[in-house]
Amino acid sequence: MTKSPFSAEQDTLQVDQAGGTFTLNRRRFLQLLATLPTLGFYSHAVNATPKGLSEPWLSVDAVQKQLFPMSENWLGAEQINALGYLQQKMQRPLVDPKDYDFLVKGVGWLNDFAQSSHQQQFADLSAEQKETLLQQIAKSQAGENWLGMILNNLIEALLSDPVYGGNPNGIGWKAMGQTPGYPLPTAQERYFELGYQRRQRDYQQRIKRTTKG
Amino acid sequence: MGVQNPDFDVCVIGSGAGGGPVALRLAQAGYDVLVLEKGPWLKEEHFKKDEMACCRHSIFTPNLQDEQHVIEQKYQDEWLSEPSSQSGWSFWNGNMVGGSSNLMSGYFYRLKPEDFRLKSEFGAIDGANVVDWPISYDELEPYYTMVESEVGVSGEAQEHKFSEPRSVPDFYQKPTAEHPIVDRIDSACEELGYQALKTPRAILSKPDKGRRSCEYSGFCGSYGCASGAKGSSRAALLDRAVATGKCQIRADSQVSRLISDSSGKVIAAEYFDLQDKPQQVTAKIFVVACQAVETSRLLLNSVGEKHPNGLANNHGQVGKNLLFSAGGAGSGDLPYEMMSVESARLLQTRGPFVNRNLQDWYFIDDLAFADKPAKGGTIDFLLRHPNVLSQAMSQKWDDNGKLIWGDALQQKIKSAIGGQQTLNFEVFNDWLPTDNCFVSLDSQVKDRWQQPVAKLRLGYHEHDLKVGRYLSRKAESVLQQMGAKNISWSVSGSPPSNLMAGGCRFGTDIETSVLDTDCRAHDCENLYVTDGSFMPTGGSVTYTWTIYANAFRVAEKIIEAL
Repeated sequence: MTKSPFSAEQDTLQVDQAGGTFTLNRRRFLQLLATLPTLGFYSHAVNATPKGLSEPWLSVDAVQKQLFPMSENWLGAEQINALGYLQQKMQRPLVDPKDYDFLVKGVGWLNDFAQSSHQQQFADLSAEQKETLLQQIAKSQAGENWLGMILNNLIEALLSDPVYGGNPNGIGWKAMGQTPGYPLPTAQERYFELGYQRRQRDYQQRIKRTTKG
Repeated sequence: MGVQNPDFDVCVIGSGAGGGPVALRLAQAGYDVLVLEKGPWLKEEHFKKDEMACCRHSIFTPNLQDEQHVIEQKYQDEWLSEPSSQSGWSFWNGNMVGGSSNLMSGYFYRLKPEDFRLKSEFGAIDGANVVDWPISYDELEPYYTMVESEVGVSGEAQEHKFSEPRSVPDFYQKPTAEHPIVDRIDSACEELGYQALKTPRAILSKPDKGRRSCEYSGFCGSYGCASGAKGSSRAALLDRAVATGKCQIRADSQVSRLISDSSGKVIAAEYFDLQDKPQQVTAKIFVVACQAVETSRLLLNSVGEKHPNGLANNHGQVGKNLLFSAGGAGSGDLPYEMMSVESARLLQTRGPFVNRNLQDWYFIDDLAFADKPAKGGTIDFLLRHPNVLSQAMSQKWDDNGKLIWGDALQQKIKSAIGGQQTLNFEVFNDWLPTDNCFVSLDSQVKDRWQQPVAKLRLGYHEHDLKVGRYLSRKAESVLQQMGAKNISWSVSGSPPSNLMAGGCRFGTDIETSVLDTDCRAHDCENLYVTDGSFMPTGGSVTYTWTIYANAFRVAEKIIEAL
């Protein structure tokens, strides 16, 4: 069996399952941001179709669809707008750049692994091959961390307020039996617009200004 | 002495349950009051039921990289410290106007007369600094009653073998609506010979003083209240204080130290505003109410000519005898498949409160526990928190700790969220004060304004666990009687960071206490502390009602002093 490239990273990566915590410098983050689709902050219009997707989103989309496939009784990744949710999240203020870095790294390893075992990109594999590969990846610590992060984001897309881009019209709440509480937030009241989150955002901008040049 | 023409009569630092009553009463009495609050001013219109904002991220507490604590715990025989920015174990509890009272669940208890004389009643315990309070229940009772109408407490007075005396026959408001699960709890308790009591709540069942009544969203604890029904210091007191025209609130103002003059009196508070610019404000009297840990930290950081070891700390008592709530928590599931469709529908009700507690063992007279009467505690029942993200994320692991996904994961999430009701219980018993639970300043870690952060040594007394286990077994018997499945509970010495008190004991001896009976610093005549810091022992209930009551009491002392 081919050894998963995820296992090589086992000792060097540590991810907090709740948030995903890494160290990464700002320069590296800016390089990574350059690879993101050019959408402004607060954009809601993320309707990219798989054929128009570039990496890492092409692979992420394929993984999400494998983890939450369309089925008769359950919600598929597309139905909860999982990809759009994650793309929006990575452009929100205060997003931890290390999370995006980890996402990209994982996609790299995933495709290395797909290439070495099947001479194909992950997205081009059959459903059975994808499943087997993900099962293998989950056996390494880094792979488990990476899949755990993708799963957490799928769950956020399933159950967070629709104002964040997933769970359209509360479809996830209905399917899982959740009764939301009222009042619900509007777009202007998302967490990064309020209280300490807003303050943190202002503080970071201030620091950036004062350290420029 | 002091400053000529100070900016304000009274400067209150911290706007939670300890600060609100002082600000309101002083403003009502016509004094110029300034409240400095480190956090933002969030109001009813900002409080939405959004798990992403309250919990997955927090709009209510600082980023731990900017402001944190250092936590010291015992591993084997060694005390090891770790900054909370590394562990993620936050000791912030809602830094905003109104403080963490915005986020409480509002179950409200008075202490009992014996809590004021714990040492006389039950004797000393080796390794614990148990003392009697310098005031009695009778002295605080009028203020407990005052809180019922000023903050708005709903409930129903009931006869019980350990009921505390009341000077008014019944509560200010009738109880809030009750969840159908209370019928099951009441039946089980009756079968067991326990007396289930109705838990009072600082939540309005009827509109009052411009506040709306509870709208029963079901999202109460950890969330700000959108209707104003929850008796936060902001909704119940500060909004009224501001309306007098005599009280000003400066939010986003981080007080870094209190400046004292050569006579030892406090003359000014130094703070950083929203733009991180340093500011100063002068007043005749300063009232510190930043919640136990931060109050001790502020005093320790406020070194002056007469206070070389920190304000009010000439006898080394500031930060000592920090208290939390001891006890534990447990739960049991009531799967809907076990019951009729109608019963399941009732249990799925979202909104009304459980409002049930047991105080049958507030004092334990049981040879199986000890050979003499002992202090016990309170068992509170509550429904599983309605938050789903945290609940769903914990479902992604199977019984062997392996990740699952696809239909299996969604099935598991649906079953966890929609397949059953879960009844939780919480046990509250005394956190015995010891020499190993205190606040000091960390010698290295600073906040982003370059002030040393608080270091918390978190030792506990083994006796606390013994009481917690005794009460948890009683609570477990109720869940069993109800036919609950998957019953589990845990009791540990790990403190609940949202239930803190102590650190600035009030007392009559300057050698062993920081504050006098009026909660004025023994060695600083114009400094008062009005949050939970004053408590020498904590009692076996949540603290908020007692903090409110004492702050109303001290407010009258401050008016006398002015």
